[in-house]
Formats: sequence, structure tokens, C-alpha cells
Amino acid sequence: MVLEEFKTRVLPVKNKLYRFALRFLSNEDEAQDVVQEVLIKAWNKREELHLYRSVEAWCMQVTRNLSLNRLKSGHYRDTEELPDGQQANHEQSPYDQAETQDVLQTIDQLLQRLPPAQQQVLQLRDMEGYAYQEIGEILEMPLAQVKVNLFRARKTLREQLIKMDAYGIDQHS
Amino acid sequence: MELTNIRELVEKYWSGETSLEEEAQLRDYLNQEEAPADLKKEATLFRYYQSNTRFRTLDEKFDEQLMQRIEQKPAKQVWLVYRPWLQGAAAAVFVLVTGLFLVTKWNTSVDNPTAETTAVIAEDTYEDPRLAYEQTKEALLLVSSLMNEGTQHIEKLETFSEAQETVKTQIP
Repeated sequence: MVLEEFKTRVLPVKNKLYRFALRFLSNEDEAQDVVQEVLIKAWNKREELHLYRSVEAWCMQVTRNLSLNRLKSGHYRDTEELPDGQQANHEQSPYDQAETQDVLQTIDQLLQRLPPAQQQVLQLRDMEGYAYQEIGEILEMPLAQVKVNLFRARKTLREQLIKMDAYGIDQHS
Repeated sequence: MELTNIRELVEKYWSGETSLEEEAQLRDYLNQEEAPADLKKEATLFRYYQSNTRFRTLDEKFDEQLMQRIEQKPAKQVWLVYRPWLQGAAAAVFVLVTGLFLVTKWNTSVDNPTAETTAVIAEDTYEDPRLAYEQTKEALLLVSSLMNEGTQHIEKLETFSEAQETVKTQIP
């Protein structure tokens, strides 16, 4: 694989990898480091990449492993430990501005309260649009487990959303 | 798409039975059209999904950094630069092999070009294998000590490359 091919076939996966790394490490710099490491690994393995059924799934899998390693290694710094004002801010989307920011943030918090496996499955399916098979590959999880986790995640979210509705949190833009 | 269909899809979604295509249909509908009141929470959720993916991205600066790391990493070159004695060793092996080859060739061409002549070169010159071993060891140790001496001189050269690096990093 030459550099040009790498740029068109592998590099575009970067955003998915980044968001996936952010699921584990809420620190943006750390997540970015992980993605860089994953892509360098992919580049160094460029001669064997065609052996994998899906290069993207392989990259996602490595992202997960490296992120977990960082969490385990201890010197991981969580964004939440930063004092107020230094909080890494995601770019404001036009949607975020139009939508009551609160609601989207509340959903974010709801999601983060789910067990890690459920969060990961939900992200891979509902945000990144992966097939069950691929999710199983990325998370090294049996297919049935993937479906159970997704079902439970959606169920909890639904219940929480109904509750939010009942408490009259404004969801209208 | 019919609203009844959408409602059906929403139910299927919550029970985890939608396919990827159906989920895409839901996403398209809920993100574009003004959702009816009973589908507001789904609309909010799908908008959350969308904002999450659309605005958490890595910019071109990331690409540049990555390309820099990829391009400045010719692994083989680094291997030789940091191990100057390897170059010496490679040269020594080359000389030995070529020499042996030439001697063999010379022997076979000068004497009778039979298989016997090549065997002569490999013939034992020592009666006692222990003695042979000792002699070989000594010879190899001598070669190695000479090579180390050479390496010590080469190591001095590294000061130059270090200085070069410093200059390189300080001058943009």
C-alpha cells in the first residue's frame, strides 16, 4: 500500500476512531494520541492490511485496546479533573445552538451512566452505523451479547427520555 | 414516508429489531421533518446522535502531524545510523565471503577442476578437536576486539550527528 492509497482508504476512518477513543478517554488530547498511534500501526502494517476482512474494524479494535491500555496504565488524565473553564469544549454545532443545549447534554449524561459495554454497542450501532457482525468483531463479543447490550441500552434510554418528558424538560427547539 | 410506517419503525427500533437500512430511514425522517409530538423524544435522541458524530472530528492539523510522523520514519535507515558497528560487521562479512569465494574459485581453476580440490580447503588441519576449538575461539576473539576498537573511533563520529541534529532543530 502506498501513501496515496493509505490516505484515501485508511485515513478517512480517523473520525470514527476518534469518537470511539473518546468513549473510553474523555480527554481529547489522549483520544487524539490514540488515533495517531492506531494509524501509525496501520501504516507500519500496510503490507499485511489486505489480510484483514475489514481494515476499518481492525482499526476500531486497536483503538479500543490502546484506549483500555491507557486507562489501565494509570497516568491517564481525565478532562473532568481539569478546573472549570479549562474544560475541553467541543465545537458548537449549529444544531447545538438551535436545540436547547441542555437536552443534548442531558442525553449525553444519560448515556454515560450506562454500563460501558452498552455505551460502546450503542455508539457503534446508532451513531456510527455498524452491522452487528462488525460490532462483535470490534468488541470481541459474541453476536447475541451485542444484541442484548444494544437492547438494554435503548430500553434504558427510552425510559429515561419518558421520565424527562414527564418532568417537563423542554425538548422543543 | 407515511407517518404510520415511521411509528412502526420507531417501535421496532426500541425493541432492537430494526435493520441498518430502517435505522437510516428513521434518522433521515427524524432529522429533517418536524416530528409529531409523540415522536419528540425519538427526534431529540436522533438529533443527539447526529450532532455527536458530525461535530466530533479531527482536523487537517492532525493529518499533517500524522504524515510528518509517517514520512520521517524510514525504519531501516535509523537501524544503520544508530548502530555504526553493524556497517563494519556487514563489510567484514562481505570481505570474508568474497575472499572465500575467490580462493575456492582460484583453487578449482588452477588445480584439476574436480570436486576433490574443493574438499581440500575444508579439510581438517588439527588432530585434536579441543585444540581446534581453542584456536578458533582465540582467532574470533581477536577479530572481535579489533572490531570493537574500530567501533570506538566510529562512536566519536556520533558527536557530529548529534551536533547536526541540534542545528537542524534550532534552525526551522
